[in-house]
Amino acid sequence: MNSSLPLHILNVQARYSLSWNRKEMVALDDFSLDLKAGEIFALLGPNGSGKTTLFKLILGFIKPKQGSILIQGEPAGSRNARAQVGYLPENPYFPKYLTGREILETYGGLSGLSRGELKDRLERILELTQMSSFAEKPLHTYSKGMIQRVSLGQALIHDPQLLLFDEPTTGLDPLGVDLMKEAMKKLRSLGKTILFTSHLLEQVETVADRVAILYQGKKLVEGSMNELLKRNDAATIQVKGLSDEQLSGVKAALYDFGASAVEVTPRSGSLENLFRRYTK
Amino acid sequence: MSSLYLRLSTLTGLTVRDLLRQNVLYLILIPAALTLLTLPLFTALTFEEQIKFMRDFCYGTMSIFGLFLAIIATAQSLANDLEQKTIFTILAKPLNRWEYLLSKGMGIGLILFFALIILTVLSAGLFAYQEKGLLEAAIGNATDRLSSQDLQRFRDQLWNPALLMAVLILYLKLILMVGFTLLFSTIASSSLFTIFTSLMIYLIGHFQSTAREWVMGSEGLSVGMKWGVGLLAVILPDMSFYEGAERILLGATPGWSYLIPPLGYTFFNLLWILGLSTWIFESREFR
Amino acid sequence: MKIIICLLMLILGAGGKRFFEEIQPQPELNAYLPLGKRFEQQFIRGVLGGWRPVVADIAWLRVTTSWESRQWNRLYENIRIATRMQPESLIFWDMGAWHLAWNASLAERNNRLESRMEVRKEQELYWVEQGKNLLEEGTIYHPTHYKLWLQLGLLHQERRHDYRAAYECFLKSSQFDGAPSYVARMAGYALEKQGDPEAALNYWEKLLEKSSHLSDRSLIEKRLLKLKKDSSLDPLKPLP
Repeated sequence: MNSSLPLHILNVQARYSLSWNRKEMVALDDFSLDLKAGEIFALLGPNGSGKTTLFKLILGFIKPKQGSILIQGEPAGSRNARAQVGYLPENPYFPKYLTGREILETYGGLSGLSRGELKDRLERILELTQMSSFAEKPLHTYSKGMIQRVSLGQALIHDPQLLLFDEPTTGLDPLGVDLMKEAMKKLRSLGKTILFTSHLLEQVETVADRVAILYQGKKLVEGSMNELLKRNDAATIQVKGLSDEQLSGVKAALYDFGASAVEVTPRSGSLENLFRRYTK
Repeated sequence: MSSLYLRLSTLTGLTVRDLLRQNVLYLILIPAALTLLTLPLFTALTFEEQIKFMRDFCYGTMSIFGLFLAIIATAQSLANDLEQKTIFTILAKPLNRWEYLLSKGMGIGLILFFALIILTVLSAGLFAYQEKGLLEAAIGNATDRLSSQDLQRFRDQLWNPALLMAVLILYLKLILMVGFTLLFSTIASSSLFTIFTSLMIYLIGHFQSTAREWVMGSEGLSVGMKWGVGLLAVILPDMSFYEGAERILLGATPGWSYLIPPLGYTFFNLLWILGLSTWIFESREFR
Repeated sequence: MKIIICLLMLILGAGGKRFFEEIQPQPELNAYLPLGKRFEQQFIRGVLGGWRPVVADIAWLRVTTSWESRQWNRLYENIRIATRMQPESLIFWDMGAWHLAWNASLAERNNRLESRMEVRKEQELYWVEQGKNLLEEGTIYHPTHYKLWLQLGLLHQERRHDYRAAYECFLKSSQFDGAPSYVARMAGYALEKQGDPEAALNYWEKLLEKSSHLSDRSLIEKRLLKLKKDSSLDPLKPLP
């Protein structure tokens, strides 16, 4: 069963030694997680909660003090495991003198892809990341959003099953965020598994299937969005075309039905929607 | 094309492009070229002295600047990847760590090769220029001491094909230093430490053969001490393997078999260095 | 598995390295030099790297300018630097000794600024001795090169008039590879000059036996004939 899972983490512990006082800091404690194919999983937590440490463990950059991590049944860090993982770092750095296309070709080459394989895959990635218009320009002319798209492209270049996105939307404008979210949904529809971290809870809500909250290296809660956010004793009713007077009547009627609290707030458009309307 | 070849060639290419974009290459190559261009300013009295000086000067320039390039570029290369965190995106790909190290070494090796070609061509140009100047001076001089035999001897010494062999031996020596620097890079966290340690190894390497012989031959040393020295001798390089280049500069004209000892010695050193570097690098954590 | 491969590479590489070190003949200089001098040379090689011969050459350029300006002490110092930096270069020993024992010493002998003849003589001999010492040191670095022994022989003969020492140096020089045939004859001439005709005759006889080249043989025979005539021996009779 575990061998078919894109990611299987069992009782993992990671510790850092603090060289200045020879003490050890537990970065991740007794962490377990199973991810299924075609799901988007969000890791939430403040800085230093162990999110990036988890990614480094999965990629084999650090080794767990205990526990095990398997990617499609392969031990984390092995070449076979890394062939199944695409990584988008929080602050990606690429040689500035290369063009977007050259970066993708380089990372394709590092993954052992031949020219033929690369050609076909490049076109699909350029389309998915909407890079085509600037792929031939050198990286030093790129905005943060463009670089993030290149970074997404390099993570996908070897067609991995599991994708690790570290703060993929940080620093992006709303259009960049939309593009990233769309890409994630598209990848999910293709059966890819995505594990990502974010500080922006609203964005997590709209894209993640499941979520876990990490705090000081420990997993506090884990579940699907529906399970975690559903409140059985509360509901939202949206109405349109009523006057203030009629609304007061509705409010009174709800109290008559036995409601303990009723809130009526006139709805206004969000600044984000306004921005999208003008920039799309 | 195999996947391994593609991975190696891609990272080697990236290393070469990175180095070509870095100032360190030009900071070393340009002063080297400028130094070479000062050659015509030095004139000695006899032709023999002049030939010796020209050869020594060009070889010395290649040797010193080549050493700086080999050590600094290698130390910077790995340190830059760590500092800019490029190593995370590179090693996240299905690439073995030994492939990473080997590609870095090959990239720097290629840069060194081209740097030596440039400096060799420049030296040859200077030789031709100097030769022309010297001949003109000789023809214009009524009390000229040059016989046609002298002229031929002068030309033969100046254009001795064995000089290319000396450059090849120098290249092998520099490649060995690239290997050592790469080994220290896998342990070190700062490029300064790597550069310093590599320069120390270079210096100590010149004493290796004599020190080993002296310690092994001296009486009163414990077996443990001798084993310790023996182990050190395994790690430290013996730079006397590359002294053949200097003998060529002094006029020796050996056959190509002359290259076998430095070639074999460099190969086996690089083999153990790559083995040890990989071992260390495999267990290194990147936080 | 990876560790096993790394270990194999380590063992194979280190083994190969040590194998080459064991079969590599000692560097030419190491075979003759005392330990202290070897360490000194290796230290200079390590510190100066490829610039070592260049430093030697620049010192040599200063030798030339010192010669032109007749600054003999400066000349001597720079010869010492050049020979220390690159002792394997024969030219520094050879020409350095010539500068000292001929140029410097003759210039001192003809120094018109010094009116006292004995001081001039003393200075002349001083530089001849420095030249001799330099060549003798050179033969430590190049014990089997004919050229320095030849040069030392010439110095003994021309500048010190020590014909016995000259004979020994010429003889030694003639035994090494590359020595021209005239070097062996010079040993004979030195013996003659020493004033020992019997020993000279013996030497020429032996040299004749060893010589195979026609022109050499004819020169030796002529010399033998002349010597025998001079010492009123029957030129057709063998020596006693």
